[in-house]
Formats: sequence, structure tokens, C-alpha cells
Amino acid sequence: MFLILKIAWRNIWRNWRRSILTILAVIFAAFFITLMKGIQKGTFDMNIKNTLELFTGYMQIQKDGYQDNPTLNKAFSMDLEMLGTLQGNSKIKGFSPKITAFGLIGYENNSLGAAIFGIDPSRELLYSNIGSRLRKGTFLNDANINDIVIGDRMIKNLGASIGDTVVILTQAFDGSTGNQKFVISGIFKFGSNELDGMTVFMHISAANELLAMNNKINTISLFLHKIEDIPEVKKELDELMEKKAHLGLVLLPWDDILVDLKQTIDMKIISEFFYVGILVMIVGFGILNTVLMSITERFREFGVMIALGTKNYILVSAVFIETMMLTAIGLIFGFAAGYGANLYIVNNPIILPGAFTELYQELGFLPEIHSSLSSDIFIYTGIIILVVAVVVFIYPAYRLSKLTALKGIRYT
Amino acid sequence: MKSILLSSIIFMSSVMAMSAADVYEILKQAENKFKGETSQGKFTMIVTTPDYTRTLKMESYNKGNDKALVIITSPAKEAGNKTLKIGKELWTYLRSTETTMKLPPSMMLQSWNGSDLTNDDLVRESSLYDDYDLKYLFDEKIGTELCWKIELKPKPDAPVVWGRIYYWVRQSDFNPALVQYYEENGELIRSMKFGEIKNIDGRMIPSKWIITNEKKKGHKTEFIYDDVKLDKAIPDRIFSFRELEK
Repeated sequence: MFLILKIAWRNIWRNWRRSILTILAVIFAAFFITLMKGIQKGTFDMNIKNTLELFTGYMQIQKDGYQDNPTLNKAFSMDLEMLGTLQGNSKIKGFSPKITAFGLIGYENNSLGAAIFGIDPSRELLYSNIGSRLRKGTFLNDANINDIVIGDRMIKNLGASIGDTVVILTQAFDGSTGNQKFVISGIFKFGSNELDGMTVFMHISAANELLAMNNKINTISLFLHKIEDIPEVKKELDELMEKKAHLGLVLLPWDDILVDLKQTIDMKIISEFFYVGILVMIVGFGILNTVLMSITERFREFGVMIALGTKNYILVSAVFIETMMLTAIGLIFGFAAGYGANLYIVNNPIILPGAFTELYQELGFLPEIHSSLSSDIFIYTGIIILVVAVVVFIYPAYRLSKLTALKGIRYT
Repeated sequence: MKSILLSSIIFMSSVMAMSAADVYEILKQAENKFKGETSQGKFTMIVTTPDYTRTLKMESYNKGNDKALVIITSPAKEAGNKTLKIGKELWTYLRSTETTMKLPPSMMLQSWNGSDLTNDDLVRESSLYDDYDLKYLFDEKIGTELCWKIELKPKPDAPVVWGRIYYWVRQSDFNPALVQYYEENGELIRSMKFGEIKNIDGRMIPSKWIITNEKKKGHKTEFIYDDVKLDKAIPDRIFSFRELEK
């Protein structure tokens, strides 16, 4: 065995030009695949994080069925046990309760349909980025609970301005008609017509009163430190969810809540898969070419070895080890280069110039390119290239295993 | 064999006997019986859902299909809230905030005061015998009462929401017994049952309607007439904004 290794190693250096060519092909592939995957993962993660931290949270606790049919009456109360479990989990950065309802907002002779979100500003502003979307005025606070913040389109459609008093009309939890006066304290802009024309944020205490919720809420958004922790947190909260089974609660990760975003990302991953596929093919043929060349070049030598009594499988394994060594060396350098490039982008995200801004915003993406140094990327790339190397080795190995002494020696 | 032939002849002749004009007349009678040209009165609305049951007392004024005013009189929290309908538009007056709001189109499919009627239902109280093609199907008993079962299919350009309606009219007194509303795809959405025929203001009309929401389990709304006066002159000023905010 050791001898085979030695033969393989020597063979690599016997024709170093050919070896370097193979290594370069592998380096090229490893570098581009890691860079591409890094950018893909980094950019998606950043966009997902950005979207989730805006409002939704990484996960939500809701009543079962609320996601498909979000009615006010699918509500529950947050008790001390729940509060304690959520606060005690170190992977959870924070959480915020919400009341969501549909109603009507009226100012003078205008009235519009409104999606009402009752939020706890002290929690919401701490964990989500919602405050960053405020364009004018002030956000909600605990001192003035009858303040509301509405979208820039809504305030325009109402013909109101900051400081004006509006009336909000809803159907409360008990079926009664809830109506109350509120003062517009701020204007936000998300950039989505639907959100900016429909959404009203109010203090959770005000929503509780308006909607006669009796301290019940509709959802709890959980904000985690890391998006990768979702499955673990889900597992850790299983016990709590089981205890609360009588309330009919479920814990949903973001991809069950923002189905559209998940689909957009899946589509993009599929399209990138084709690019990787093309790259892999180029590299695959490169490796095949060099390996095949190096074998046919040495047929005479192999023929002599067979004549002297070397078994074909020993030759096959020697050449296999040779190929693997070349691949490994290529991978090491390729990874190093890929890591370097990814590290550079992680530290210096690329901000796309103005023309892209609108296009990206329309798709709900930030016009920025980020990268990632996650180990998945390197494992993924390594596996792909190793598989390619093994697959392209099949044909040369077949030729080698069928080689006879005479044929080899006479081969020109 | 003979008896089958005989019964089918009887069946055929009974269908023949019911001309289109007859069906139209039956439905018109049933519809106008309890609506009158004008009506005013007091009624109780009981809304039952799996989460709560609530009872509202109201006063209403109706003039034709175009004008209506409903004032909530109890419970105290909502007393004084009013709904005004003029033509195809609805306004709500809220007593606690002293505001009048016009309901925008986006709110039309929302429930009216938590009931199983939508705002749209109030506005779109179309005359069934004008917007639908009528067809007598057969006689059927609803409870103990023999009824004509009539099928209503919307006329091609009629501005209606239902795909099909079945309407049972009592043969004894031309009162409606049951109405079932179906969606375009044939799904039963809601049914409205009429009961407790009473002498109200000199007419024998149903004093209780029960609307069952067939899509939402356990949701129903009952309307009970406590006191109704039909075909009495109602001044037009009742249906004005000034009156609304009084």
C-alpha cells in the first residue's frame, strides 16, 4: 500500500506541468463554486434576516390555523410560564406580542380599510427594525398610548397630517363594534404599496382596549441571534408547546409564514444550481482530459509493469490515488482562494449602483451583495468536486483494468 | 305500469299549471309580504358564534329598497350607533366618538355588527323577482308546511353575487319558509329560515328569521321582530345626515 502511495506521489512530480494543469482546473472550480455559494448564501441570509427583523420575526407562536385564516378570534393569552421559557432561552434575542385586526380608519369625510397591528413598542423597537422605517414624526411609546403610526400612502389617501385625530372602527373580539379616537404621531414607509396604504400600528394596550381582547394576543414574534438556530429553538420550545397544547398553539418558522419569500429564494437557488452545473462540467472535462492523457502517455510503462507481474488493480489504485492527490491539492488552494475572496466580500459588501436599487426593491431585495464563510459552502464544494473526480475516473480506470502487457508495450 | 303513467301525467299537468307568471307572482308576494312599502319597528338580533353569543336590540326604518336606518338601542356600549343606507351606499354613525363614516368598498364584505350579514347584503337587497330567472321545481314540505320550491338563477347581466338560490314559499299563506343561497361553484353558503308566523300590524307574517352560515360552523344570526309597523308614512328627513348625528 505504501508503495502504491509512493508511486502515485512520484508520478505527480514526474510530469509536473500536466499535474499543475489539473490542479489549476480544480483550483479554478473550487474557487468559483465557493465564491458563488458564498455570495448566494450571504446575500440570501442578509435579505432574509433583513425581512424577518423588520417585523415578522424568525419564528412565531400562533394559534393553530391562524396562518391560513387570520381572524381576531384565534387569540390566546401569554402566561408567566410562557414568558419565563422564552426569556430563559439564550438563543432567543427577544420576542414581541402582537394583536392583529382589520378595521376602518376615518378622517373627516374619508374612510379607508385598515390592517391594524397592536404592538408593544418597548419590545418591538428593541428587537425589530421597524423603527428604521419611520419617515416623519415619532414612533409609538408607552406614554401616549392613543398615538398611531400609519403608512405614507394611507395618510395621503386620508388627506390627514401628523397630529390629526382619526377614528378607528373595528369589530371587537366579542363581536361588538369598537371605535376610538387616535392621534397620528408618525408616518412610516416600507416601500410596499400594500403595507404603506393599509397598515396602522398602535400600542398593544390601545388595541387591547379597542378590540376588547381582555389581554389576549394573536401572535408572538421570536427574534433569534442566528437564523441557523431555528431548528434547535423549535426543539427546545417543544416542551412548552406541548404544555400549551390545550390552547392549540403552534410554533411556525419564518418559511411557513412568509411563503412568498421562501419561494422566491428557492427559485433563485434552482437557477444558481444550473450555473454550478455548468462550472462542474467544465472542471469535470478538464480533469478527465488530464487523467486520460496521463494514462495513455504511460501505457507503455504500464504494459511493462504488467509484464513484470503487477496486477491491474494495483495500477488502477495508483492512478486513482494520483487523481485524488491532485484533486486534494487543488481543493486546498481553491478553498484558500475562495475563503479569501469571501472574507473580502464579508468585510466589504458590494453596494450595487443606483440603477439596480429600484429593480431589487421591487423584488423585495436589498441592492447589496454579501458573502458567507459558513462551513456548509466548503463541504458542498468539496463533495461536488470529489464526486466529479471519481466519476471522470471511471473511464480511465476501465481502460486500465483491461490493459494487457503486450497491448501496453506496443501502444504508441 | 298504469299507476306510473297516471302519476306522471298528474305530475306533468301540475308543472304545466304553474306558468312563469304564476311563479313570479308567488315570489313577489312572499318577498313583499313582510317588507311592505315602508316598515318601521323594533327587533332583536342574536348572534351566536363558537366564541360568544350577543344580543342587540335595534330600531329600524325602511323605505322601499333604497333607504334604511338602523339604530342600536342596547347594549349600552353600542347604543346610539347607527347605520344609514341610501341607495348603494352605507354610512355608520358612532356614538362614542361622534363620527360618521362612509363604508368604503373594501369593507363591504365585512360582517355587519358582528352578524352573519355582510355590509354588502344590506346594500344589495335586490329584488329577487327582477334579477333572477325563476323556475318552479316541485312541492316540498318544510316542517309541516307544504311549500313550492322555486329555483332562482341569475339573469345573464344581473349584478348579483349568488350563483343559485332555492326559495320555498308556503302554499297556505304565501309566506317564505326557507331560502338557500349557493355560490357559483354550487357550494351552499347560507340559509335563511323563517318562522313563528304572527299577526304583526294586521298581517300574518314570520316574526323570526334565522340566518345560518353554512361555511363557518356554529355561526348563526337570529332576527326577531318585537314590534313592526308596515306601510306607514316615514318622513324623508329620517334618512339624512343631520338626523344621523342627532
